[in-house]
Amino acid sequence: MPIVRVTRPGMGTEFEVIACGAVASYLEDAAEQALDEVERLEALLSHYRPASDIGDLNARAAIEPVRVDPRLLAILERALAIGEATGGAFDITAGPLLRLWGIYQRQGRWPSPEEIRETLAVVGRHNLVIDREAGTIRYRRPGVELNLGAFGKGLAIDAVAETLRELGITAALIHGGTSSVYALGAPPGAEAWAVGIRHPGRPGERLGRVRLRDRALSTSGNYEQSFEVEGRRFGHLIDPRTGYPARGVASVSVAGASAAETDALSTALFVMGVAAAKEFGARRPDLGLVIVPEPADERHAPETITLDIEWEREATAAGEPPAPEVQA
Amino acid sequence: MNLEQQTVTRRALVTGAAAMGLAVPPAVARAMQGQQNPPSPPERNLPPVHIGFIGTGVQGQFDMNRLVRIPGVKIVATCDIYEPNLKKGLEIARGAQGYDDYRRLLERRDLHAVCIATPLHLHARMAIDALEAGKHVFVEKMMAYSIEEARQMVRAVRRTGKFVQVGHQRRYSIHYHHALDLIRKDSIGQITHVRAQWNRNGSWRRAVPDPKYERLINWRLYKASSQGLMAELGSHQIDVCNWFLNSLPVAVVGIGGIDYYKDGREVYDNVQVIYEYANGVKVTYQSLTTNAFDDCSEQFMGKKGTLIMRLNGSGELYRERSAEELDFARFARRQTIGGREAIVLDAGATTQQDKRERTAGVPLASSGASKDDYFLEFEDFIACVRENRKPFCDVEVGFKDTVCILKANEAMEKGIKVTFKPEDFQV
Repeated sequence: MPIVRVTRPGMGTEFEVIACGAVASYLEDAAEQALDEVERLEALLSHYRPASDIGDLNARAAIEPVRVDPRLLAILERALAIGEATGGAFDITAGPLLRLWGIYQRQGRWPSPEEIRETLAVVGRHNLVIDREAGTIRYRRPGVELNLGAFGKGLAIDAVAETLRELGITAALIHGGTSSVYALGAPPGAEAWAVGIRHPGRPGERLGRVRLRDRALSTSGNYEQSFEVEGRRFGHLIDPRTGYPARGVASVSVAGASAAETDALSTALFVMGVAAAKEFGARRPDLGLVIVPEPADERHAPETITLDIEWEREATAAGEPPAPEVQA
Repeated sequence: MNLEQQTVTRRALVTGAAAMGLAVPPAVARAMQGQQNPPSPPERNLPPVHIGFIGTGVQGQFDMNRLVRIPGVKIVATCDIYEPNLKKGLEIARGAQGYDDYRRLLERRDLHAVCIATPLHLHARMAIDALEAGKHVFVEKMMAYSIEEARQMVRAVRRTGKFVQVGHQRRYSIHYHHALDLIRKDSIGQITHVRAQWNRNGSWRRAVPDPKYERLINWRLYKASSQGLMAELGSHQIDVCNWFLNSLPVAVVGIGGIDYYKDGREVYDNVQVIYEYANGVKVTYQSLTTNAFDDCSEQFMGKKGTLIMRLNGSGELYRERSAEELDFARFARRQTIGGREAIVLDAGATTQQDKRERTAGVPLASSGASKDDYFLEFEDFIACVRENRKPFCDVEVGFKDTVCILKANEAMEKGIKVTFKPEDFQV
């Protein structure tokens, strides 16, 4: 049975569709068409593009209420609901903190407590005035900005999957820069797609794998991007509640029905820390979790905590002490 | 040049151009003068504009995204005969009434204007029906499927007193207006040639889940509904040539073929066309579907330099070695491209950098403008509806562009050189 791979650059990464079906040319046309969703959503959501809907909002909403596309309003409300459910650990207004720590610029810096306090004033849901009746959004003060971050990538993956489904595709794997993946159906002759989870401490190595069918998986880890400033190391995930880099977790993987949600939640659970993440997972049996607490580096074989997920740990290398595996 | 003189020069450009009948659309002029982001008048003070939107496929949804963000606009009715598209359209036009027959939509008396983003062969009939029903019209490009239909649209505008705006969004681009400003300031000298192309690598075919929708969804591939690459892509760029050269072609030759995608399509998958304008200016145009090199751009080649405009609004200016240095060049950002030094075009900075350094106000960095061509296009359309003003890209512009494109198709199909007679451009 033909398998096609089609890629498309977008949202600062590369999206890929791997699709199986009867007619290769149809699969290609369908994959190309589905990947158009990445461009459509990027035009709506990119905070890098001044003329995107989010860019326009960031340019004008501190001056006046800005009318927004109802589809964007629905996306923002969904993101805000995840923010609420995670006690603010996922926050689409956290962009100014990322800039303060030099994460946008990919040039880490360690800000003063003063700077952090000032920046926290423009972060948080309360800085947005949403008028559903008029369909407008206004920022309460200058300096507020929206950045959907990985949630946007997840939305794009979901939209690609949805389009493929509408076009009758029954087996496909869709990912955006490997941090999130959606498994549509299963490859021919298999029950599910097997998807690897990276070892957070060893580049190029796999920690284990999960089986997915009509499900998404997202992973957040400090290995994606980290900085060292005056001997202090920190990762790219900043806790929007405190203004400081999140600690205690090496990586979190979340499996669930939608890539947008798993993308947002993997970020949130990383920020929340091991104990709170476990508690959150216990309340949401629809989600599968693989939590890897720190330390997980070259020397330490990582501990893993799994919840509601079918998971195969990768065999450990010879001579290494067996890693503790906690089934929560 | 001091600040006052600069400001005067810029104002003079706008009014001077207006006096020549080549006005800059007000929405664009505001954006170019850096007044894009002051507060809009409160929505309650604006007369509401009710829109009916016909054809809510990919392009229609794209257009509606701009419309719903403009204060005072309400899309109260939408229409599509393909149910999935109707549904997607209503997600943008929340609360609108959905129709599957545009004539029912046109019966509504509360519509001030209608937007049309349907397959090409339906444009004229729908637009004329809308005009007859007393509605202003925005119609996506190309304006009409045939020259005769385009003529009928012009006549309908004259007869009804309503207007038609055609979706050539480059006419509403601050970048293109800036480029034209530079050309008028003699920055590339006398233009003798234009090279333009829109190259892509893809079949242009959309996946159709049910064969009964093939001709509906892939309307671009069939002659009964499409005029091919020249109409769908070339019409934008030939319109820019007509606009920038302030002229119309006198002859056209071309070769096209269905040479790669032999999948039952009826329109060419590659075209090569040469237009001749007055004074021997040539425009060579290419559109490929098998190689995306060079993407989409227009290169205006003059005796003193070359100005290139690209799809995303970026552009560069290259001076010929023999040309003297331009007065603004020392302020401009430069970049070496292909071994040649280019002045990077920025509508907010290229010629105004010195002014920016001396003023305390926040200058508009146009490369960072938050309203794009499409936004300004619809913002100006809505302003035209409110003010009953003739659009910048009106039915006459769309008609002339249609003639240019369809004569190129004729030249390719018949394998002949087609000459334009003055009456070809008359109604």
